[in-house]
Formats: sequence, structure tokens, C-alpha cells
Amino acid sequence: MSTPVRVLVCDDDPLLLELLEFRLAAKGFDVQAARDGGEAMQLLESKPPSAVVLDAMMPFIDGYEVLRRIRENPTLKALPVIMLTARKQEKDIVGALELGASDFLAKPFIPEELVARLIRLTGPAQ
Amino acid sequence: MIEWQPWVITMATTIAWVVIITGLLQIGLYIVQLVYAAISLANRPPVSRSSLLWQRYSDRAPPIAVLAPAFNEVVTIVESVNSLLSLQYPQMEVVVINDGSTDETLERLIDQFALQPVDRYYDLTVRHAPIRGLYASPRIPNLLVIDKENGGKSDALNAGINVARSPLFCSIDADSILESDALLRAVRPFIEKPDEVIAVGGTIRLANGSDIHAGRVTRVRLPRNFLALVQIVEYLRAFLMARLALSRMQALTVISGAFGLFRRRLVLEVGGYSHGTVGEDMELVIKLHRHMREQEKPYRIEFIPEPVCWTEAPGDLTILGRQRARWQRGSLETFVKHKDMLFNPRYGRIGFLGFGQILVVDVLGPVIEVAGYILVPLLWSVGLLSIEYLLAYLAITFTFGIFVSVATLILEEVELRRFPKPTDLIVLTVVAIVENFGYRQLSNFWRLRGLWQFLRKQQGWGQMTRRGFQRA
Amino acid sequence: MGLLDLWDISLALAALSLAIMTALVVGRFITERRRRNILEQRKLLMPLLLGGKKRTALTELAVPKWLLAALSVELVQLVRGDERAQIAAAATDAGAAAELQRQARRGSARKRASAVEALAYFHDDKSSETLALALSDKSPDVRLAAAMALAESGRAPAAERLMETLGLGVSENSMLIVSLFQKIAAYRPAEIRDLILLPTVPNSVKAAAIDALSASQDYGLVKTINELALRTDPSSEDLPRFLRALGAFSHPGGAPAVRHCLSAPTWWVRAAAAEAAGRIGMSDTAFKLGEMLSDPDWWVRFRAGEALVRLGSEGKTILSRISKGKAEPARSAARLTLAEQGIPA
Repeated sequence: MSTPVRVLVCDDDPLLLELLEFRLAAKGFDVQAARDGGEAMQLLESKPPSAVVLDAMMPFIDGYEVLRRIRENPTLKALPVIMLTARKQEKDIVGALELGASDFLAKPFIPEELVARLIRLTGPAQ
Repeated sequence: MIEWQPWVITMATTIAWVVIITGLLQIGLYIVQLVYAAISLANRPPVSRSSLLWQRYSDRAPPIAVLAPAFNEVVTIVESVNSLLSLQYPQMEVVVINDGSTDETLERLIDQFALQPVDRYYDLTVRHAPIRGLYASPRIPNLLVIDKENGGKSDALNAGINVARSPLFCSIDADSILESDALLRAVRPFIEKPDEVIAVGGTIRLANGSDIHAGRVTRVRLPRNFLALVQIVEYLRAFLMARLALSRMQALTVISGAFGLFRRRLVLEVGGYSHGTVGEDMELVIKLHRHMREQEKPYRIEFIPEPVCWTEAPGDLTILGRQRARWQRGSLETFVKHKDMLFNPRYGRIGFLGFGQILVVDVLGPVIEVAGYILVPLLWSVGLLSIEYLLAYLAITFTFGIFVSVATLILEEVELRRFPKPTDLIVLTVVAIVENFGYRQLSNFWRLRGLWQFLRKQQGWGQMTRRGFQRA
Repeated sequence: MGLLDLWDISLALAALSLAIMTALVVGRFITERRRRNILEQRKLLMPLLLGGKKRTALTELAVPKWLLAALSVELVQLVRGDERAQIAAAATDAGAAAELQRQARRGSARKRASAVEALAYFHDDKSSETLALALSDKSPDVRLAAAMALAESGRAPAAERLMETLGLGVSENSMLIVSLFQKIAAYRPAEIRDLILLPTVPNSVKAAAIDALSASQDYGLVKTINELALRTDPSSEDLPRFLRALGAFSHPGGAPAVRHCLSAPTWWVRAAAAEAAGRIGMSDTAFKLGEMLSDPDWWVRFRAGEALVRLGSEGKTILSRISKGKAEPARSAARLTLAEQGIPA
């Protein structure tokens, strides 16, 4: 058996984190949660995950800035990042993709869809 | 016992009556305000999670320009700007106005955000010191930095108002700490009554003692410092009682400079912030009232009880005293400048309720109360006043004061419950009682000092040395 | 009333306030203990609501109904699709919908509005009934929330009936009307369209209907809006919204109204017309837009400059010519518009 795929989930809404942890763990992912951009950056550097699910609006360092730093970091550059955000106007979606997001999902979202998109990016969870 | 002449006794009784009646007027006002504040709190719209606010309002929310003046803020500027950029709002431009800082504030910004000089076509409607340059970041399209010559806070904000293009602007202080969803909450009245609302204020809370991390309040806690604690009770009284009630009566006369949302167009029409006054935030609101009343247009100036902004209160007597004297000077300047509005039927409830409140609470109140501190006990001790007068005087200065402060705390606890621990409530209740013995008197002396400064300035003796924004 | 009474009254009031405060503090200590308990229960509730399978366990769990309702609503709002339906179904079985229905009928206006808003996610008959009833609530906030909730879930009453119950355009002018119309237009666009055509509907409501439909690419509307704009009083505050919609359609059918409004007496109409002219690409207005760079109002000059840039080379030529001229404020407007767009003069 191989080790589970580690996913970093970053959102300032604790309930959403709980929901994602529950759903993703059920699919066999190893889930790490971060409540804000600063915490996410720390986790990214200390133990890099295989994929990131990223909210846009977070305190301190927002999701776009986290994404930009990921793409500028040579070791993290190729990391799959899915933006999961309530900012869903055209300019927000285009902006996120231009910054290097691998995929974009708008809130409210369909958890099944998120899982499917994650697996497409990382391969099966285990 | 000395035999006093009858006229001396009449005079003493008259003095006592003046003191008691002004005191009663103030207390009557406070009690009415408490009732209105309670009604307003009970009828306020639901306070929802910010994700729900986003779902409901984000598609309809008009663009807002956040105007952040900065004078010598090199240490905190990057953190403040980052914190503003991460506010939850669909369409927002952050306009930082460097008001001729003598330190490296501008360089720091240029460095950190990779700013480049840009050209922009801007309005020249309101007056301000010359703009030296505009800077923007290719990376962050909603950030704009204005570099201008020093002119003080009003002047900096005026430049921001000219350059901003959003229909609404939010003016803040350099040291304001905003809640993430402050704009989303404060914009609600503009969405719900778009044809009437012209300005919105929100509750300012004190951050002393709370945990602050990277420009956000992360945990609410009470300070240890007594002065800061007293100010927490004072702020609750000012915002939760007075401003909320006055807005319910549609007679709000102040929106704090620490956080206010305005319709840009109307502020341009009244000429922006005035120069050469220390109470520019209050004066702007009065100008808006005057303008709308003179145009005979229906309008609303709203206040939302939810806390939107945090600020650090001075924890030492000298600085606090200076701040209070300045505030007093500000209200007096505004009052005198617009005195024709007082009890003028043309200005309706603003003339009667708004200005009446300023007259009783800010103009006459402190003078008569301080006179009372000296005269009433003195006159009683020499036998000119009977014990009834002394007791009535004590009721007005102490016991009613306790009632008003504690009643505000009750309102807070019943309706908002923002203090996390039950012990916080005990501490605040004790403070609400104790502040009436000593602090209240002190703050009235500070106000008298403000009056003195105001009179000196009116005589042309005062000197204007203000350059920065005096965060005190 | 004598002076002594004053003293007595003040003492009584101070004592009363302190007594209430003491009671509140005691209450706080008690709820503090309960709060920890509730956090525990919340932890148990989450997986059950998400699990979907063990519904019986959910009904057996003795949690306060308000907690169940609150958590279910928060969860439901996070997701959509099947997941939303599943969570709502599990919550309904456990009694969340019934609790919300109760809250929607009783309590303060604030409570009622929240509950009504949440009922959007519950599609059972009882919930629909409660929402229909809430449409005639005495609080306008609750009425609007009920309309939104019904519209959100495909249960909206006829638009004309909503106009009446909510007082649209009369007592209710919220921008949320646009959201309400958008929701209804998603499944019954004709009804919203009809609002634009009916002569009895106030202009502000028509503007909301137009805003709601302007993303629809229904070009049939252009002609209607054009005529409406031509008929509207040129100082109306609603007119800019009509013009903006015409600009959003970018269809030449809107040109007559836009051209007409370029010379309106009010700045807000001129500015909106200039913007629309640029979006529609009305090159025949280039000369007029150039003249508007001398408008006394800054917004009009700004919008005219922007529109000239949108018109392409013809517009840019005019901007460049004016920027080299002498007449202010047109010269600055032209020069800075070009500079801002990074176009050499």
C-alpha cells in the first residue's frame, strides 16, 4: 500500500474546513488544514503537500498572494492548486487562472466535483 | 451660622437650579437615547456569517475606494496595506495617501509592492496640497498610492476623494484595524436604500488588551490598564447608545474618522473635508446634513451597531487629556461654524435634536458641571443650600451616571455579547461604577481645557502646528 | 416632585441596573458551562449530517433543535447539488425544518428574517407554506427575505403579486430586487420581461428588471429599452441604468437613445450615455464625445475620454488632437486619458 496523497486545505471558515476534512479523509486523502494564508505558507514550506485547495479571501495573506508565492517558489512551482472561492465574477476566475491556479471552483461547491478534480490532478488518493 | 442676605440665598438657589436642570436635561437625553438604542438594536437586521453576507450582497455591492492616509508610517505601512488588500469586498480600490511623510513611507511602499509611477485622469473638485505623483502596482491592480505634499489628514483625504473613482469611499485612520467583513457589513444600508443613504458609520471598538496579529484583531480581551478600561465603557456609551439612538432618530451628527462610508459625489458637492479644523469628521457630517436639507432632498445617514473597526486608545493621562481637549475643540468649532442651524426649523431634526444634543452635552454641559463641582458643595457647606440640593446634585453627578453606564453594558450584553468571558462583564460593571468618581470629573476638566484652547484660537492667539494626524 | 425624589429615583435606577447586570452575569456563567456542552454536541452532529446514512442516529441524538437547525443551515449553504439536497433531507428528518418554521413565525423580526432566509433550502410543503405566509409579514425585511427564499428555490409567486406585497418601487427600493428578479428570471424570464413592458410599473422597478436581464443576451430587449430610455425624463435617476444596460448589450439598436442622451441636461445621464456610446461602438458620436471633453462635470469628461478610447483609432485621433490643443479642461482630459491607457499622443 502506498502512502496517502497529502492535500493542504486553506480556508478561513472553520466549518468549511471541517466539511472538507471529513469528505476528503473519507476518500483516502491525508488532509492538512490552514486557517489563513500565513499558516498555509508555513505548512507549505515545512512539509509540502501534493495538492492545495485554496480560498481567495483570507486574513493576513489572501489566497491570490499565497498562489503567487507558490508559483514563484522553485520547489513548489509545479504544485497543483485548486482555487475554491466565493469570488466568482469573470475577472476573478480569469485572474486566478492567470496567476497559475490549476483549477477553479466557485462556492457553494459540489464536494464530489472537488474530489474528482483533485484526483485528476494528483492521481488516486492512495 | 451666618445670617445670609436674602439675595445671596436666592442667588445660591438659582445656581443650584441651573446646575441641576442642565444635569437633568443631559440625563433625560441619555435615557431617551437608551430607549431608542434598545429599539434600534431589537429591530436591527440579522447579523449573518460573512460567507452569507457575501452570497447576499456581493453581486449588488457598489465599488468602494478605501482611503488610507499615511504620515510617517514606515514601520507599519506594509502590514496595514496588506491587511486592507485582504478585506472581503467584491470591488474595492485601496488608495494610500502619503501625506508628505518625512520618513521612508513611500519608498517602503514602492519597494514592497513593486510600484511604478502612473498617470491617471483625476478630478480637481476639492482643495488639497499638490499631488507629486501617483503610483500603481502591475501585480495588484486595485492598489493606488498618492504621493502628495504635507497638508494634514483632511487634506490627504481630499486628495484621495479627488483621485478615487468608486461611487463610495471609506475613510479610515492610519491606525484603524478593520474587521475582514467591515465593508460588506457597512455597505448594507447603501444597497437596501440606494436612493436615500448618503453615509454610514459603524461601531469603533478599542483594541487595547486584545491580541493583534498582522493588522487583525484575533482575540478580544480586556486591557489591564484602568484608563483603557474606562475608555471601553465610554466608547460603548458613545457608539452603542448615543450614535445608535441618534441615527435611529435620523439626527446623527458624527461619523468617526476611524471608519466611515460616504457617497463620494455628495462629499464633493460639499467641498470635501474642511481645512483648519480639528473636528473634520464631525464637520463633514454636519455639512452633508446642511446640504441635503437645503436641497430639500430625502436622505439618510445610518449607523450600524456591529463593530467594524478597532483602534488603540491612549493609555496615559497626558495623551488622553490632549485628545479629549482636541475633541472638545473640534465640536465647539463645528458648533460655532454652523450655529445658524441650531433650533432652525429649516434644518428640522438636525437643528433641534442634533444641535440640541451638542449644545447640552458638549457646549453647556462641561462648563456647568465643573462649576457645579465647586459651587454646590461650597454653597452647601456655608449653609446657603439645604441638603436636598446637595443630594439632587449628587444624584445628577454620580448615581444617574452609574445607571446610564450600566444600562449601556446591559444593552451590549443582551443584544451583542461581544465580550467573551463572564468575568469581563464583572470588570466592566465595576469600571462603569468607578468611572463616575474621579474619571468623569477629570474628563470634564479636559473638556474645559479644550474650551479654553478654542477661545484662544478664536482670538487669533492659537498657533497651528499640526502636521501629522496625531493618533493619540 | 421634590428634589429628594430625584435622589431616590437615581438610587433606584442605579440599583435596578446593577441588579439586572448581576442577573446577566450569573446567566453568563450558566450558559458558559452549557456552551462547552454544545460544542461537544456539535462535534457529534457534523458527521451525522454529512453521513446521510445513519439518519436514525441523528433523530436519536438529543441535541437542542436550534443547534441542529443552525448547523444544518450553515452546512447547506456551503455546498450545492446533490450534497445540498442530502444534507437538507437529513436535517429535515431530524426536525431542523420544523424548528426553522417555528422561528419564522415567532420571535423578533431579526430571528424571523434569518429563519425565512434559511427555509430557502427546505422544499417540503410545510416550509413552502411558512414562506408563503411570511410574504405578508409585518416587517419589510422578512417579506423581502421570504420572496428571495421562494425565488431561490423556484417557488416564487407571480412577479406582479410580488410587486404588490413587497411594495416594489414604492416603499421598497433595495438593490436586492435585482437579485430577486435574477433568481426568478432563471426559470421564468418572460415574467420579468413583462415588467419592462407594462406601463403601470414604476421606472425604478423596470430598471431593476433590466439589470436582472442585462446578462441574458436577449437582444429582443434592446428595442424596448431604447424606447423606454427615449421616453424617460432626462433628469431621471433611473435613466443611467437603462443606458448602462444598452451599453452592456453592445447592440446598435440602443444607439438612438444613447445619442439623444449625450446632450441631456444632467451630468449623470450624459456620463452614462458617453459610456454606453463607447461600449456600443458608435463611431458617429466620436465628434460629440470630443466636445464632451469640455463638459463642466468631471465624470462626463472621464466617461467621454474612456469612450473615445473604446471607439478605436478614430477616437484616439480625436483625443490626440485635443491633447495638443489649448482649451482646458479638454486638453488635460485628453492628455491624461491617453497617458493612462498607455497610448502615445
